[in-house]
Amino acid sequence: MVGGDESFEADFDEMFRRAQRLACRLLGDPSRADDVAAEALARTYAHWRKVAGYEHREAWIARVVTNLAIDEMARLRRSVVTGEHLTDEVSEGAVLRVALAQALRSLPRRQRDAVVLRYLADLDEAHVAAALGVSAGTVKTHLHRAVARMRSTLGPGFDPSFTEF
Amino acid sequence: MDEHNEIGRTRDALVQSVMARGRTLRRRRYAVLSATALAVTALVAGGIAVAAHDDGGKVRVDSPVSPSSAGPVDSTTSTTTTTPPATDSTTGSVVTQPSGPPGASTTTDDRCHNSYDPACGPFHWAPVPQSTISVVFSPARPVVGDTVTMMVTVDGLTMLGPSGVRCDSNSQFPFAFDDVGCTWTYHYSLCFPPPQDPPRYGLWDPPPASPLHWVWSVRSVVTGPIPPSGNVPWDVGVELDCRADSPYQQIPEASGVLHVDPAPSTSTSTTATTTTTTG
Repeated sequence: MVGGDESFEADFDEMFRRAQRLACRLLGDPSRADDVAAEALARTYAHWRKVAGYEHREAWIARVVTNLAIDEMARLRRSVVTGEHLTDEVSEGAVLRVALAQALRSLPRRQRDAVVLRYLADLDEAHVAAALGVSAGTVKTHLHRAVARMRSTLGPGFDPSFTEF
Repeated sequence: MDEHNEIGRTRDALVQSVMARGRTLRRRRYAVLSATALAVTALVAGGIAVAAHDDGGKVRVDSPVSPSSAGPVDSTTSTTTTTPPATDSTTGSVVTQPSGPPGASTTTDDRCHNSYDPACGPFHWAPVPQSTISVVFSPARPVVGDTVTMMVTVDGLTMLGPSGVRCDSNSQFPFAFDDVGCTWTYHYSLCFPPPQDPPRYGLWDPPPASPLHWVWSVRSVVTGPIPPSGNVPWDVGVELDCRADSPYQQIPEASGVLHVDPAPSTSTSTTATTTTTTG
């Protein structure tokens, strides 16, 4: 039954795998990515009667994961600022993550959704367009402008495939 | 086998843990919704009591008009027009009022017009400005070796003017406007939204803008070889007013198909020029 516990359990593994992968790319920490993915799926379950019927529910979940990860990175930022519990190696990665979070947060929502779904959740442009309810051309435009803006924040060498992250 | 069972138990425990947390969140959401409903009921009851008192005992409750009942939806679009629903300026009648974001207030109360009150719901512009775009190829049926002009025309409203043109073709045909000048241009210093302090809520009037009639063209030489169909589809988008908080930040889009006929001999070079006219 769509929207019931059985369908949530049946789809759990695939949804969790996607959420965990996206969270890990954003956070760079598998352990914290597990926590974020679990919380994202708990929120998904809380809205499951509605979300189960969405044609592009992975986009909905990706948005939840992104928001949670950005919150998590904001907590990380406080640690970076105060220097709590950070080794040099960890702090270098942490600074990079904090910069990424700030860059993502500074994007207009549509641009952020497009970047996350296309480059971090690895959906193709047609899929992203369908999920956002816009044309593929508009997705390209959002991506183009978002990347330009992130380069202005993170530096001209920023790679939209997020290979650094 | 034991390891497999262990993984299965761990997975099941995770699913149950997630669902338990989800139920907690759901209960919390229902509790908030119930409390809100009770508060609204109490307010409405209080309002009715006041109305009954003020109106000589006659009870009258005015319902706000929902956007969906405001009028018919404008369907005057074509393949070369992007029309976010808006006010018909020629007649002055409201063709379509775009609905606001989910949860937006539907009240017409002046208190929620250009408001900073969070109770007025999410901020949105109304009406959303309208724009149209067209793309025309000349000549309409070129042959290999011909110079083709693609002309893009945009009409609408803007505060800053178009910030870029994008052209896409899925064709592998080696005749590419986007290689020769049909690319985005930016006004970076103008594109970043100014800080909004304090934040806005509810329905806001779009700020004053100027009429825009913008014509942009690019020329390119058809170089071939031609695919069997000879059809080259093109998508063109123009970004208007790039600032994120501008109601005129739209990307009207148009599509066109250029039919190219084969020619006995083909050129191997591509040249282009770009002209811009802003009126």
